[in-house]
Formats: sequence, structure tokens, C-alpha cells
Amino acid sequence: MSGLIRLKNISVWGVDTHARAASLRQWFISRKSLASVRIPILQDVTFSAKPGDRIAIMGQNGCGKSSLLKVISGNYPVHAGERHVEGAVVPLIEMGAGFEPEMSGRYNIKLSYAYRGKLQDYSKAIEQTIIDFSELNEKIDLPLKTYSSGMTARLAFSSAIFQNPDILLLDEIFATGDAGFIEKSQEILIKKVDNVSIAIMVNHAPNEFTDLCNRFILMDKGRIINEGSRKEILRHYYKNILHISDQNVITA
Amino acid sequence: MNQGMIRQFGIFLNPYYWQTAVLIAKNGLARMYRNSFLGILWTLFQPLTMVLVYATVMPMIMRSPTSNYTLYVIVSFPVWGFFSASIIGSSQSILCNGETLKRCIVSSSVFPIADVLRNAYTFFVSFTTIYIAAMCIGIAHFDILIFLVPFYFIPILIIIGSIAIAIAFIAPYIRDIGELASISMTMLFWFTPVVYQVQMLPPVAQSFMHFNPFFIMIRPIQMLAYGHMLPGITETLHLIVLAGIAVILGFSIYRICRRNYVYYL
Repeated sequence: MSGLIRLKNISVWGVDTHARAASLRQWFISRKSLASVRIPILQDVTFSAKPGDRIAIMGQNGCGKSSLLKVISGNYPVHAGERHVEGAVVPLIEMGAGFEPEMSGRYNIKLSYAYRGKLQDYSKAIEQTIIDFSELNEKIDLPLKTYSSGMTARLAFSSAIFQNPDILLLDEIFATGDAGFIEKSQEILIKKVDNVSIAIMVNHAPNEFTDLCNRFILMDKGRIINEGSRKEILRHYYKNILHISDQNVITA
Repeated sequence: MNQGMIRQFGIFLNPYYWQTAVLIAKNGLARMYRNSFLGILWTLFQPLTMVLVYATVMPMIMRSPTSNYTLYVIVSFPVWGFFSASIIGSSQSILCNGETLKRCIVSSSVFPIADVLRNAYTFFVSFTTIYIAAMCIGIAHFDILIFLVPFYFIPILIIIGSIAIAIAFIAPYIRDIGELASISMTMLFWFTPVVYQVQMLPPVAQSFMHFNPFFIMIRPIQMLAYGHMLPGITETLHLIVLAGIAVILGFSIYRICRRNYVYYL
């Protein structure tokens, strides 16, 4: 098993695009500055993962969980610190991104491979596997815009899941669709998490997938604030961040 | 070149990068014409209309008429259309695909390159069709030199591709770049011999023309398809040097801008 993640004192800043002049009109008339106003996204994050790690990152919306995944996947460049990632990374972040409504489902399967930089893994055989799994059958050649949202979600999930990464990143993306499809998808997702070298999933609440994890991390305001057992992290999260003191919720 | 630069430049040598670019270009073409009645035929009508307008109006207002002016416009106009569409369109290449770029691991430069490839395809379709039609009605005659057009188009593709990448990566920082490119191209249209011949200009203006990159690019195509002559060493060398400069400049801007562009989307 290969795969390694080492992040050392990582800081990432976003840009407040409303505060700076992005056009000449805003510069001349609104008198906005040309300089970028930085917003901290991640601050001094040190994190590592080795083969066998199944990591659940928890925290409120906007705490930096998804940004951390984007740093690992390489979508977000870092402004300070060191990033070292070994192995093929597959981020399942908002599956279906880049889908083209005017084109057929079949074409969108190929497009989704291209957008993940995995065109070399695409083949007619994998395409058929995806079509079979998504249960779209003859509808696969219809334009995506004619699909229901459930069908689109099934296609998005199916075209994302049949990849063999070393590092799997899951951003609150779990099975969608009807009951039968959800069950089938959960099964394959659990198998996938079991088989990859490193799996990292982010959540703002525990679920059946966090039960698969052997490491638990809590984030708040762009920082990693705690790492420990599931129970310890949940207690910290509910008590100190969400301010929920109900013992039943904490121990759930 | 340090290791990082070699790795970044190496992306452009990866065959899957180009397959992805072709796939996105096809997607763009299909999206443009999918629901239109005439589909891809629209790529012919725009240059054809402009050729007809210029071929009718310009000989009436020009003091010294150009021999076979219609063929001159037939050759020049689609090339200019390619320059213009690629450069103006590139300002939206990254901005329009921002959400995809934030979520997927695809090389961001593939989007402006795909747009340039799409425009190159429409150029070849319109140029070839209009030129063949011109031969059929006797405006143009067949010359073996016409087959050299694709070879001279390769450095042009490299130059336009480099400019497109540079503009696409500046656009998230300066949103006005599209408007500036549009105004610049309108001005450059009249500063480049597209609808008039360079010989019509005063000698001083002609010498300045050698500093106009669009003249350097359009000249060999005009020589091959209109003048029926092989571009000289000077024209070819100018084109190659310009391609080298464009690659260096485009790649430098790409390197500077690619680092943080995602935060400006």
C-alpha cells in the first residue's frame, strides 16, 4: 500500500473579492484598492496520514474541513508551510462538477474522467460498469438535462466511484438516489474506504462512515484543535463548539 | 529551468492533456451549435458574410484596387477571425470554468487551450470550405502551396495558444481584460493588413508593420493562399522567433498567475 500525506504548518488565505477592485470601474469610481484583502482559510495546520489511516475530520460549516481536503488534493495552493503528498489522490468533492447538461450521460462519464485528470483510466469497459451501476441503461444516451436530479446524482456518484486511488477524499458526499441505490452505493463506498491506502472524510455530524474511521480530528476556525478518540472528539465538538450538553447526543 | 518549471512545462507534453483539451473543445462546439437549425454551418456564414461585405464595399472606396480582392479577403478574414475569437474568448476560459477548477484535478490551462483548438477547428472548416467554393466559381485557382497552410499554422497556433493562456490567467485578477482585449483587437484589425494590402501603406507605416505580431502571423498565410508564393526565410524566421517569444511570455505569466488564481474566482 502506498500513499503518504505530510502537511507542516500550512496556512492558506483566500481573497475577499468584494473588497478589492476587480475591474477598472471599481478602481476609478468605487475607489476600491487594487490590493487583495486576504481572508484566513487555514492557519498553521500540521497534519499527517500514513497507509491504513481512516480519518474523520469534523467541525462546523466553514471551519476549513473542505479547504483542507482541497489542499491535500492540490486544488488549493498553500501560502505558507510544506505540503508533501505521495500517491494518486481522488477527491470526491461535489461529484458531478463540470457535467455538461447538453451532452449525453455517456459523454459526461468521459468528461468526468477528463476533469479528474484520469482520462488514461477511462475505457469502454469502465464506461459499461458505470452505466450498469447507475442503472441508467438506455437513458445513458439522452442529454443530461433530461435527467431527474436523482438520475444525475446516480450518474455523478457512479462515474466518480470506480477509480482506484491511494488516497480517497470524501467531502460529505455519500450515497444519493432512491432507497435501493443508496444501499448499493453505501456498500461500494464502504468497500472503497476499506481498500484504499488512506481515506479521509469530512463531516459536520457523525454517520455510518465515521464508524469506519480509526482517527478523529476536530477543526475550528481554520485550525486543527483536537485529535483523539471518536468519543473524545464528539464530546469536544458538541460541548465546546455546538454548545449541546445533552449526554444522549454526545454519546450517540 | 528549475525542476518545478520543467514539471509545469511537462504537462503540455502529456498526450492525455491534449486528449482532454480535444474533448473539452468538442464539448464547446456541440454546446454552441447543438440546438441551432444550421449547426456547424454557422461557422461558415459569419466569415462568408464579412467576405461578401468587404469584397463589395472596399473596392468602391479604395483608391488603388487590389487584384483579385475577393480572394485576398477570403484568405485573410478567417485567419483574423481565428485570432480575434481565440484572444477575446480566452478571457472567459478560466472564469467560466471556475467551479469545475475548484473541485476537480484538471490542469487549468487546458480550458484556454481547448477554446483555441475549437476556434482552430472552425477556422479550418470555414477557410477550407470558402476556399474550395472560391475555386469552383473561378475566384481562386488550385496551387500545391495551399497544402503548406497547416504547417505555417502550427507556429500561429503556438503563438495564439500562449497569448490565450496568458489572458485566461490574468482574467481572474483583472476582470476587464476581456473588454481590453476586445477593444485592442478592433484597433489591431485596422492596423493589420486584413482588408487592405500592406503595399497600400506609406513606406514608414510598412516598416512599422514588421513589429505587428498579427502581420507576422497573417503574412505567410496570405503569401501561400493568395500570392501563391512560398514565404521567404525572413517571414518564416520572424514567425518562429515570435512563437518563441510568445511561449516564454505566456509561460511566465502562467507561472506567476496560476499560483493564486483559484482564490480570485
